[in-house]
Amino acid sequence: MTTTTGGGARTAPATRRPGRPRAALGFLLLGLALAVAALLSLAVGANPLPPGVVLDAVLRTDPTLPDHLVVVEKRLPRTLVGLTAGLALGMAGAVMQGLTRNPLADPGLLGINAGASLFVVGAISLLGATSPGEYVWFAFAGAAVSAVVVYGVSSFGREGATPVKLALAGAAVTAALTSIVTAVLLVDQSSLDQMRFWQVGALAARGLPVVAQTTPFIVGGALVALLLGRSLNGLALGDDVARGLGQNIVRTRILAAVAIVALCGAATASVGPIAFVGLLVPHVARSVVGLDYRLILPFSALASPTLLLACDVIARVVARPGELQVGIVTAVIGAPLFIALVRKGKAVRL
Amino acid sequence: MTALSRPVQMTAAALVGAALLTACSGTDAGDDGRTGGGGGDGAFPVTIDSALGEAVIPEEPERVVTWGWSAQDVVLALDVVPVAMPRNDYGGNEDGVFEWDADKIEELGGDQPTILSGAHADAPPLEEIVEARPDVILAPNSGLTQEDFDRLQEIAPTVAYPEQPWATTWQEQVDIVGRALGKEDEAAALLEDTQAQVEALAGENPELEGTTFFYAAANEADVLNVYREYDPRVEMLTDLGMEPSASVSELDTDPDDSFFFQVSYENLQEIETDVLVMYFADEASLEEFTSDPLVAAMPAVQEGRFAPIVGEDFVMASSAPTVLSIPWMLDRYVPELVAAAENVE
Amino acid sequence: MITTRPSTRPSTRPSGGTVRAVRRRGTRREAAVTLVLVLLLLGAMLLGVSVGRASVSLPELLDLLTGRADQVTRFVLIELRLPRLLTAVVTGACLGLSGALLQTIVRNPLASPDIVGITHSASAAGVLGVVYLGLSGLALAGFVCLGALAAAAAIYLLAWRHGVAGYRLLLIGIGVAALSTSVVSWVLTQSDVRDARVALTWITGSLARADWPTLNPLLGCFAVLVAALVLLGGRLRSLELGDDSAISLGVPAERTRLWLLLTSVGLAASAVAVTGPVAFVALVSAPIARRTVRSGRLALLPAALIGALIMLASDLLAQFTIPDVLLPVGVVTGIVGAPYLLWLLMRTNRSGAGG
Repeated sequence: MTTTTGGGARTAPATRRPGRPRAALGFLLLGLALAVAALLSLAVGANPLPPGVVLDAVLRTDPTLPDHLVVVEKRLPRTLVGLTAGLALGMAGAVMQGLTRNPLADPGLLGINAGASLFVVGAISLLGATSPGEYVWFAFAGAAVSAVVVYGVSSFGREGATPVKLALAGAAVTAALTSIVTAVLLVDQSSLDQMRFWQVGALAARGLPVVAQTTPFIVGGALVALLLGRSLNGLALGDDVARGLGQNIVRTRILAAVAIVALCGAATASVGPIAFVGLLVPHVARSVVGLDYRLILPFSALASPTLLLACDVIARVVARPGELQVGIVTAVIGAPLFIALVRKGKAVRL
Repeated sequence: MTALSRPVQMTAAALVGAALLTACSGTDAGDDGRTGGGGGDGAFPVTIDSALGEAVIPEEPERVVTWGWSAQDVVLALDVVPVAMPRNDYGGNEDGVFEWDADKIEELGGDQPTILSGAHADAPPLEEIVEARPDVILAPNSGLTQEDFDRLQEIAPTVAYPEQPWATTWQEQVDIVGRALGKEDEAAALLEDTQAQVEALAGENPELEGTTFFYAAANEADVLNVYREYDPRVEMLTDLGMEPSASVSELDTDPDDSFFFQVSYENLQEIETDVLVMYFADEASLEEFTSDPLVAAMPAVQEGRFAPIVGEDFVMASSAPTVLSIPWMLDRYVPELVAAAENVE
Repeated sequence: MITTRPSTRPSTRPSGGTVRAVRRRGTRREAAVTLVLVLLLLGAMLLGVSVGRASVSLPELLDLLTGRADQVTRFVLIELRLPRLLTAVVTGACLGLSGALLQTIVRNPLASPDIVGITHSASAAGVLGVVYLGLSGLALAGFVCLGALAAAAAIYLLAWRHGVAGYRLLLIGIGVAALSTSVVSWVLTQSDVRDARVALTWITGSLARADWPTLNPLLGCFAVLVAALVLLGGRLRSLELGDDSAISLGVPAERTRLWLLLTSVGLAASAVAVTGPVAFVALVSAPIARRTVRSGRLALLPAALIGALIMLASDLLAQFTIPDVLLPVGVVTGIVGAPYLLWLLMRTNRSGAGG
């Protein structure tokens, strides 16, 4: 998709070998950062609770104390949602960029977010669904349906789902579905009223049931994605080379699509459409660990929730006594980082 | 394109929903922009100045088109049925007409007004307005741009807002519309009647006197929107004798910003008030709100000092008071407030 | 669009004779497609001028031509419908051309002004202009245009590192897009929501406020930029073959790219300054043109016509499909363009011809 001229074959081993120790250190630091972000997410919020109270709330919850409720009912679910959805977004982005060989691929691209939104709007407008717990299944179904449509459309023709066709079909389906969603929301004011609790990508007000509903899909999708590392490396060299290496390209594409639907569907279902994280994190991963998807995928799995949780903590603090949406913060923090990365030439081409 | 702009598109769409509820909130627009002609009744031609230009109304208008927020309420209250008026999806009936407007139209008889496409805050649907063949276009509380105004002027004399868009109080609107229709005396009487009605209710319900209140809305995830003192829905409660809770100004970090500010659910416990007043589109959203453990733990909610305003039309009427909606809603509103105030220790 | 690997390009290099034959056939097909598009566009314009919410009809249009129309008819046709139609056509053409150029320069089918930050920064400028500066009309259009140009300059400068690689430009554009998007969200959540509905125009794109005072400068910009494009057209073809081939043909790749980029940005900026960021038109026009013309190379005129047609058809649908509701045109563009592109994608066998 980019102008890379057979670069993958030459650069991949070259960057991988010296990258090993660096990658190990990177993973260690990332693990630490994730732990810190999760702790901060429990300890910091719009209400400046002392750490002792937070600890107390987690260990000896007293449901009559509002301070404890803040931690247990608000921050804990929020942290869990951030962890699971963040992981899903990062891995989904990495698989998508590998599958489509397009550096621009993110969960918005293959029509996933749009499909989920359309089904949620339909559920609200036609079936009267009211809570995020009910939206989850619709978001899921929508993500799956649109992914199947995009993949199906791209698979027609002799050489099947090429990166160009995937990218265009994804963009086309996204545009069409987004148009319908916006039209419905402009016409049906009461759906709009409901929708806004879900649509403005946020970690707030999701609750534990949503985490419970989405986690199995995220775990399943993540496992499939991790197993795909080798095949994605092959795919990065081009279909012909991958075939020459004895890989089953069709199977890789289908499995990757399954992982993407599971991960994106679950992420979109739980936090709504959060853009940019799924796009940004795999680029960071490539700049640190090189072009090997066996490293890119776990790196994204750790880095993405870290970013999301850290941004959410900032979102809770900067607008006291109110809060900001996490999507705004991820972009404000992520975009300059991303630009600097690209400028330094560290963003490795696909 | 899509991937990145989507959330924004949705945010904006959501805000439009919020706008429907808040567009009515007028800050004090200062003087009423009265300049030109217009003595007593029937002294046409009348010249009405607005922030966007002058409207010269040559004779008493028969075909009135309204645009923007709630101008049709005033026109109807002055016994004129507009030939066309904007659609109100939130709080309106199937045709996008408020119940109090529909009642008044029926009472006055005559032709049903044409309902203009698009909500009152969009660009005005010029072709439909042309089709209504208006003598005058009244948009005293609207978001017209200069370009909109200039083109509307080519269709008929157009009255825009006196200073700022969306910032004309309901009292000012009565005055402006009264002059445009050549019914200044009736308008003055209407204003007096409505204010007297509010004062009478305040007098009949001494429980409200000095009771503190906190006016908020749950429009976003885990965040309350709190209305500041100069919001019309807050002014309505102070007119009834109640007082804003001290928490409103204590929690307000940037009081000059707009007519509302936000408080995270994490800080709900800091809200101290006699009565908590909030609006909800329907029972389901009210239930959703009170099922939140932190909300349920609020003393005002636990002790029944909570006055939820439920139902789109009721929300509309109490949020954007007009000479027509105030009489329509007070009989429902005041008992709810009194019931909550009675639970104050 | 041009794809990465030689394998996905029209593979073998045919001898000179077949190349000429293919090219001739391609040119003839391009001419036929262009003619059909022009006819469709004229048909849509005729439809657009004769239908509307005000009861002014085709016969009255004839009255207008013979000078017998009354004042209301004149107003509706000349002041309301005509500027709206022309704005749709010109902005659509601008977006179609802009996307086609950018996709060629950056060599990625997703490189269109509505992905790489140009329309996003226009949104941000529009929302800031409406909410904080209280601008409207021509002043707002100028402000938005400046905003988009400034963002494009920033993207270009940030992407500059011993020349500008398309890849870097694209990624930095996306970063700027994300930033602009969050500026818009932030302004919308922080400001008086009274302006939200007006600001919505600056997120979805609308033709509802199209009028002569903004159309005239738009036409001027369009004419200048198209003239520039005609001058640069030959170089564009060489650039399409890749930097090395272009340089061997004596075309300075970097400088040509800069000029083309400027033209593309100028076109996108002029369009979004007037309508707001109408999604999808810029992205989809060139791929549709390419696949319809089937010549495997860039088809600028068809891309412009397809852009105009999508915009016009979308606006007509937006105004008349749902009774009592006037949708912004940007809400419909996806519904109009997407199915056709999907159909083309399903039909095309050679992906090399696509993109």
